Amino acid sequence: MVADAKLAGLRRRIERLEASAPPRLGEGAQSALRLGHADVDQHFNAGGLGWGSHQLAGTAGDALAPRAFGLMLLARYLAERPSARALVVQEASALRESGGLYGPGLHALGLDPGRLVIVQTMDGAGALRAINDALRARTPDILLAELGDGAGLADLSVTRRFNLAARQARALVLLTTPDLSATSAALTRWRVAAAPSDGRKRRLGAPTLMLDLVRNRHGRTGQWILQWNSHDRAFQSVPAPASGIVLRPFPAVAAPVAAAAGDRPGDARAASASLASGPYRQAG
Amino acid sequence: MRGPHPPASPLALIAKRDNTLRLEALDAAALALGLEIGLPLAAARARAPELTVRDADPVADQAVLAAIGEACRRYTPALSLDPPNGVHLDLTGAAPLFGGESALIVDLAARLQRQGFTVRTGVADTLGLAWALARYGDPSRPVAVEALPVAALGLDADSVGVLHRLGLRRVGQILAMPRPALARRLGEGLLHRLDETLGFRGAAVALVPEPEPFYVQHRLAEPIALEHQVLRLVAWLAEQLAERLDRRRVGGRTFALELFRVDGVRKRLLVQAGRPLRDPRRITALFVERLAGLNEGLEADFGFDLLRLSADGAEPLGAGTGDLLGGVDDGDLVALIDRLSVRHGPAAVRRLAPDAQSRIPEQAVKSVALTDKAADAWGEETPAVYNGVLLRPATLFAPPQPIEVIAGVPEDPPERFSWRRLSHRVVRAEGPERIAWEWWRGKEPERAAAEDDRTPPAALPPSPANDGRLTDGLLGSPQSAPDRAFRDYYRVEDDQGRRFWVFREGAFAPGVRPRWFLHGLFP
Repeated sequence: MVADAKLAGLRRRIERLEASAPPRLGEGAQSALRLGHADVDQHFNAGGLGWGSHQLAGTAGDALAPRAFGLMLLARYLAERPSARALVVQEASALRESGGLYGPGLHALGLDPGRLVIVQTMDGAGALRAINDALRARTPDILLAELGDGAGLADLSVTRRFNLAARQARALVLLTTPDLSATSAALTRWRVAAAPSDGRKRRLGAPTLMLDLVRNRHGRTGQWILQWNSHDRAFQSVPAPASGIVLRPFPAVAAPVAAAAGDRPGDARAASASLASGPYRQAG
Repeated sequence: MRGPHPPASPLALIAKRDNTLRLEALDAAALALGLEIGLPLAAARARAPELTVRDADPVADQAVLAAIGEACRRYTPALSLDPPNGVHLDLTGAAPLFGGESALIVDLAARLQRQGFTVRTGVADTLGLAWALARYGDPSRPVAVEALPVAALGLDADSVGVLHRLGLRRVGQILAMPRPALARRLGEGLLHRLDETLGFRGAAVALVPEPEPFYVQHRLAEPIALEHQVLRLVAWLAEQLAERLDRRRVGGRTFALELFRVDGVRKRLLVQAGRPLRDPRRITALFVERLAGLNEGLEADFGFDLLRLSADGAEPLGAGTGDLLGGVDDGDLVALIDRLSVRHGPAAVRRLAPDAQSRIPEQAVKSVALTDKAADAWGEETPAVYNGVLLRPATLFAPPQPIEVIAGVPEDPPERFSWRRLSHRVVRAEGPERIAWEWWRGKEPERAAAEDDRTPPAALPPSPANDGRLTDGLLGSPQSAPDRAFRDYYRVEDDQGRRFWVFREGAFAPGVRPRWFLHGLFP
């Protein structure tokens, strides 16, 4: 009954303490979350992201990428702690920009949607306030805030306050913003963008992101293109495409072809390309 | 059965008995047509084609009866209900307060008749007699017990049938017979009932206790107007309320704070908790959030001089932890969620649960309340991944966003499309994946949505509508031919590496411009 709730709270705290990495290089600092990729983790003194706030920014025309990176970090964090939950706070303008979270898609990414508590707020101030409340309540341990128009409110003082509170509460705060314009005291600042995937032929590959660590208070900066493995919930390097391979769009079809599905081999298309041309394109 | 405006045609309520729909209740017009209770509906319709029928709702009837009972509490606290349509009042000592028994009865009947009910009353020394008089007596003149029919003894139909066959039709005839003979033929039950009616034996009555209101209030000598003063008083009231709840070992689900202004205006603020709550600090914390969320502030003007804090929906405190609510079992998290719900609205805080029954993307997931166990069922779902490639997008737009597409016909994926005034050149594509409207589920969602007069909250997309499902009206418009009732989905990637989930609505038909939409984004 009431004892169960207390038991669950204690269990959660013990898990958090156990999951922290041992001190590296005599630093004494412990990381909250390793990215799981040796090269990336080495850029951090503590071997991974530290307790505090981190900013994940997007680029113009690609609002989804920082959210995707945030969700992948969430997936890693929740996988390490079986009974933890995550709080996702979304500002209304961020929802309009990128859409709402889709359960089956999150599940495909390796993130358990049932462990997310999703809060939608009208504006950025409400979202930041919700993060503040969660930090004061010291639960859950990992918080993701998606800011849109209100990103400017996550300024120096706000992020500094988050850093202090998160360090005390041993929590991880991820803030996604449309860009890097606002000044921020976050421990790390990333620019995240989509990157081409490496499927065979013209198929899609695994999710791929271009990560640009612009500022790292306890470590070095760097740039990577990483692929996400949803089964292992880990980041992997992408084999660099050999120069000379040019990704071409689909060739124009010379005549209406019956049922030319996108995943059929392209040879059949070449064979039929010699048919007489005529009005063949349909604009949809 | 009643209504403030009786329908023009005769009305009957129907219910299923013995596998047939039968009449449960009739109004005066239907009775006049010769219909009876228990008649099969088909026969009734044959006799009276103009009959209007509605489904009987015994739950609602019981609720109305309980409400009538509570209304009668003004006369006496000792009341009990006699379903389906009776209320018993113990008027001992109450009559003089209302000017005598007859005056009380007249007042009671008048009140109920004003509400549209038909009332029959009976007053007697014993409950059984009163029951008999109300149902079988004649309001215009006093009637002797002996003259009442045997049915007035409240026996079941079988016993009444036995009595009739024996030739006993009046209570007086039964009284004249020797008791041992009656006991032999009819059993002790009849004799008990007889004794209760005549007052020779006490009858057990189940009284309906008055629902105890949990509330505390405080009247102030000096009115207060500032928020922190109000909150300090709320904290103090919450402690007293917690004591009351504690005594009954219950917690409240809804708390109401009423602030009475000096000029008489009353302000009422409600907060809700996910689980029964008794801790005064948490109750106060919820009101802190509630006051902070007020757009116009307290509007205290000259101040409040009376504050009342009450708890509704009292439930045993243990209920709701452990298995019953399964979903969120961390006490601190529940408290945080309560506060966030109060601050941003209950619809703004939710979790996602899978809905394995539908392949339609919008309906494959639903938003559920925080404490719903269903949200933990994702473990049984197969992730939509194939060889490391995601098959479902991480985000979904509701409704899907129209895009302009250039694609080969008839089933080629897009080569180029423009969305939000940006043009994207497609370099990778997979598909089509055909998702058709599930005809076996009945109405198409757009028709169903059109008939539902609830509008989804317009504030935040995707907003829950129709019990939390993300509905979309585009999958097959009402005028669509069956070949439009499907979508061909394609997963495409543009030259920048952005990945999209787009679909074409319906099949390609020559001369018809197909509609394309963007439904979601892949990481």
